[in-house]
Order: sequence, then C-alpha cells, then structure tokens
Amino acid sequence: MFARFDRFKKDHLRATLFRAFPSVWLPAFTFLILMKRTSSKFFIAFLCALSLIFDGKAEQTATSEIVTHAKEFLATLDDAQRAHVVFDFKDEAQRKRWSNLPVQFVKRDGLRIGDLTKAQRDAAMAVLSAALSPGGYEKAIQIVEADEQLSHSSRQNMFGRDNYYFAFLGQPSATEPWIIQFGGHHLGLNITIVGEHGTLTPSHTGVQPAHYEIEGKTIRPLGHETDKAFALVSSLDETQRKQAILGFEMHDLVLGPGRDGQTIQPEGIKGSALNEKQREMLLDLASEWTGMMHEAAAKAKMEEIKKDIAETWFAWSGPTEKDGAAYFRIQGPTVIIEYAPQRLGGDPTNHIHTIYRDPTNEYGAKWWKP
Amino acid sequence: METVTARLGCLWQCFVLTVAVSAFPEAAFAHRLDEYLQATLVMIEPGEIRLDMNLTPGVAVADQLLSQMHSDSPGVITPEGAAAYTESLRRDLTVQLDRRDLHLSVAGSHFPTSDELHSGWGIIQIAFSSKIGPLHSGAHVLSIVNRHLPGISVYLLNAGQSPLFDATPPKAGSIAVTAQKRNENQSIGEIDFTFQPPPASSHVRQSMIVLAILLFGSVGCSLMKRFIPRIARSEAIGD
Repeated sequence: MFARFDRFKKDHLRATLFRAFPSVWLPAFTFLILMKRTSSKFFIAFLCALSLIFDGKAEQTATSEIVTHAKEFLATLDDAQRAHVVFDFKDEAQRKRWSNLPVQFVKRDGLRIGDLTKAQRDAAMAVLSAALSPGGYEKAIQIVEADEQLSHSSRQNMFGRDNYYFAFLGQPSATEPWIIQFGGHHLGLNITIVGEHGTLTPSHTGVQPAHYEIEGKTIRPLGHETDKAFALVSSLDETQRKQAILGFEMHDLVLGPGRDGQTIQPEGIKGSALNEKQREMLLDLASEWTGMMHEAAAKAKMEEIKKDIAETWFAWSGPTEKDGAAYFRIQGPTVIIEYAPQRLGGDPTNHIHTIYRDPTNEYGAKWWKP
Repeated sequence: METVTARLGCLWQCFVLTVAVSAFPEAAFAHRLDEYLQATLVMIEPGEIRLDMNLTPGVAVADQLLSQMHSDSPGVITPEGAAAYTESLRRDLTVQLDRRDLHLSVAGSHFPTSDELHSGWGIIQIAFSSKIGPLHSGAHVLSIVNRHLPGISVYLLNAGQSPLFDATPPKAGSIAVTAQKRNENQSIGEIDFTFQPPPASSHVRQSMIVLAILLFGSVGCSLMKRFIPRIARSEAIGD
C-alpha cells in the first residue's frame, strides 16, 4: 500500500506542476522567447505540447476520474467477486455496516483486501486515492498501517491490513448516486458520489497505536488533529475557556458508529464568540476531516462550514495541556466532528476514536433523496 | 472496618482486572475493561420523551452484568433474561418532567450474545419511551437520574434531536433545548427546554369558521322557528 501511495504522490505532483501552466510556465516561456534563441523556441514548443496533453487530462472531473478507476477495478474481478463487491444503492443494512470495532465483532461485507490479488488491491486503492485528497489517502493508509502494528504487538489475527473491506453501493456512475465503502477496525469511510457532488459523511477515523515508527520515521495518523485542537484551546482566554470547557467527563463519542440520523444539542463556545484568528484555527482543525475528500468536494464542504462559522460550536473536555487525553467536538448546522481518546486499559492518548457527520446530508441524502 | 472492606473491594477489583487481562491478552489492546459505558441520548418530542441507551460492558465487568440476565446456557441470553435485565435498568432510572415522575416503558431492545459481551465489544441497545400528553406552551425541565450499577459505570448523557433524514416540518409544535446541566460523571442531568405549539393552520382556521357559521346558523334557525309562529299568530289576532 505504501508503494502505491508513493507513486500516487509523484503523479499528483506532476499533475499539479502542469496545472500551473498558465500562471507559472507561461511567463517563463515569454521570457525565453525574448531571448530569441532557436533552441529555446524548440524547448517552448515541446513544453506547450506537453502542457496541452496534461491540460486535457486536468479537464477530467473528479467524478469521472473516480468512475474510471472504479470501472477499472471492477474489470480486474471475476464474476463472483464482482457480485460480492457491488450492493444495491438502497441496501440499508450494508450502508450501516461500518464500525470502530474489529471485523471479528462487527462483520463487514464486500471484498476483503487480504483476499485480493496484488493487481486487484492496487486497483481498489486507486479508486480510493482518486476519491480522496493526497492527505486524506495518506491518513487512511496510515490508520490501516497502525492496525498492522497492532496485529504484531497483540498477535491477534483480527487486526492488520488484510482485514479491511471494499464495497460499492450502486454501480459507479458519473450521474447516478453511488457509495464507496472502505473500512475495518478504526476506519469506516463512506464516500458518496452524486454527479459532481461528493461527501465523506458519515465516516469514522480512529487509531491505535496513535504513533509508531516505520523505517525510523515517526508516523502519527491523527497527529494534525491533536496538535491543531490543543493549539486552538490554548488560544482561548479565560472567559472563552469557561464557555468552551464542559464541566463533565467525556468517555467516548456521542454520535459514533450506529448513531446514523441522530444529532445532539450543541454545547461549548460559539464561533461568534471566537476572534478571527481562532475562527480560522477552528476551520483549519475541521479541514482535517473535510479535507480528506478530493479537492473539489473538500472545497465545497469547507465553504459551507465557513458560511456558518458564527453558528459553529467548539466544546472541550479534559486537560488543556498538550499531550493530555482530551475530548473535543465541533458542531455546526452542517457538521459534527468528535474526537475521543479511549480509556481502554492503556494510555488513552494512544487510542483515539473520531467521527465526522453532516446531520443534513448523511450519505449525500440531500442530493438523491426525493 | 469500612476501610478494611474498601481495601478488600479494591484488591478484589485489581484481582478481577488482572485475571481478565490474563484471560484475554488482547484486552489491553483495545477492549473496554473494568467499566460499563452507559450512553444515553434523550429525545424530547411533543407528546413523548425517549431515552436511547447504548450500553457497553468491559471485559472485567461483563460477568456481573450477565448474572443479572440469568443466562442459563452458555453463549445465549434468553428473552426472559434480557427482559429481566431491562426491567432492572428501568427501575434504576428516574425521569421527571417539571418535577413529576414519568413512567418509562420499553420501546425496543437489542442484546448481543454473551460471548460478545464477554469480549468487551458487545453493545446492548435499549430504548425507553414515556408518553407525556400535551405540553403547555413555555419552559419545561426534564431531569434524569441513572443509578444503574454506579460502582462500575461511566455515563454519557446528551439531549438529542429527532432524525434529520425525515425533513417534514413539525406538525405537533416545536421543542427547543435551552440548557443542559450534568454532574461530573453525567449520571445526573437536567435539560431545560421550551415548547412552542404549532400555529393554527389555514385548514384549522377554515374549519373553525365553518363550525362557527353552522352554530350561528342553527341558533338563528331555532330562534326563527320559535318567533315566526308567534308573529304570525299575533298578526292573525290583530286581523
């Protein structure tokens, strides 16, 4: 999976460079033309041709790219596998079949990653990488890798990268609604695509261990969430803290998996009581979840949250000193995010559950429900 | 004497936890252990209060719970056992609306297998409901006290909102939660809310007008029946 991620990062970099053609390369070429060198002119012509090719590629919408990868993935499967990976879009049972729990306790359906060939696995991961942002894809892979670490330390075969499942609800389509499900222990991604719209809600991310090492590099899959939250709470003055900090303990997520369609009354400090810088910090913190989706969908979602920032609440429970085990919640008209360290027989900061919901648009319902 | 008992209790808990972790080596890697998580969402609707409870016992406390379910055969929680446990939980809950006790009835339940409960992953789901009749317009207070297994429990208590998948406008009036208060472990809470009755719809208004016309008409008719013969008679006498 990591090899696939490296390749994806290179592809993304190349695409970004060429997308920057009009603003970066064009002035450079003009400068070269002025030099009146024949060799430069050939160079320009070559780059222009390249840029046209890549520009054509960039015009492909996010949805059509995801659909293309999804169809390529389906083409790698045999009939039995294909029948097992595609569910009816209205299959409520499958839609709700995601959890923070390991697959041994909450059975998932679809295709198990460990049962796929390398080519099939790569094709599945390509679907995911097209639907998510590079950062979102990296986070998902790092969560899976943390579970692999857990399988080694616990010697339990219910954990590990093979125990993740891939499924579609509905046929991949550029116009009709469909859902990509990818998940297992500590990961439940529900990516709904409806035409050019896309949403990740509801989805669960979690991690245990919260930090681990690979080839000497420390990996913290939910590290940004943790750091940004502590930075935000540290920025609050005494009056703001009195509003934001809940006077009771929070032991878990309130609206975790299994709480579809439900929502709670907001608490904490309202966005209107934060200063401009703090509101930016709150949006930046929320972007750790909203920004997991591909760029276009993430941008649309962030605009929506930004519009309602004055009505968006931030609540905190637990120590405010960095590295403490603290719960927090972001709740606005179209977003609910919770982050809860787990006190389950170990260091709670090393075991984290989070949930990301949109109470007005679970599974993209506002785009397809009559 | 109390100190000795407390120490023995503490030692016993440590022993149970050690045995649990030894018996389930994976427990230390993600399972809930020596606590019982009781998460309650309180739904307040015109005419009904509902408590949706998700109950997750840890590995070390599962036996204590299963003993309340009279699980005779291993791996099976019988319907009678589940009902007995649900009833014991119901008795441990006190819910009051404006300081008046509410009667809770079971609206639904789901019990995992006892094996799942032993694993620390199993979640019991129980929903209680209370029909509260018509609310008067204005402020109300709902208080909830959960006394169920306090020695081993941790609690979550939150005022919820109705499922938003159903976007139909409220016909029976609207509820707005104005404040939530809890004690530190969330076993006791109060929810302040206001009730706004629905504005009379145009259909209701039309019906009321028609009813008023009919009433006025029938009264008018009966008066005319009474007086017209008299007038006719007096005119006849005058003739």
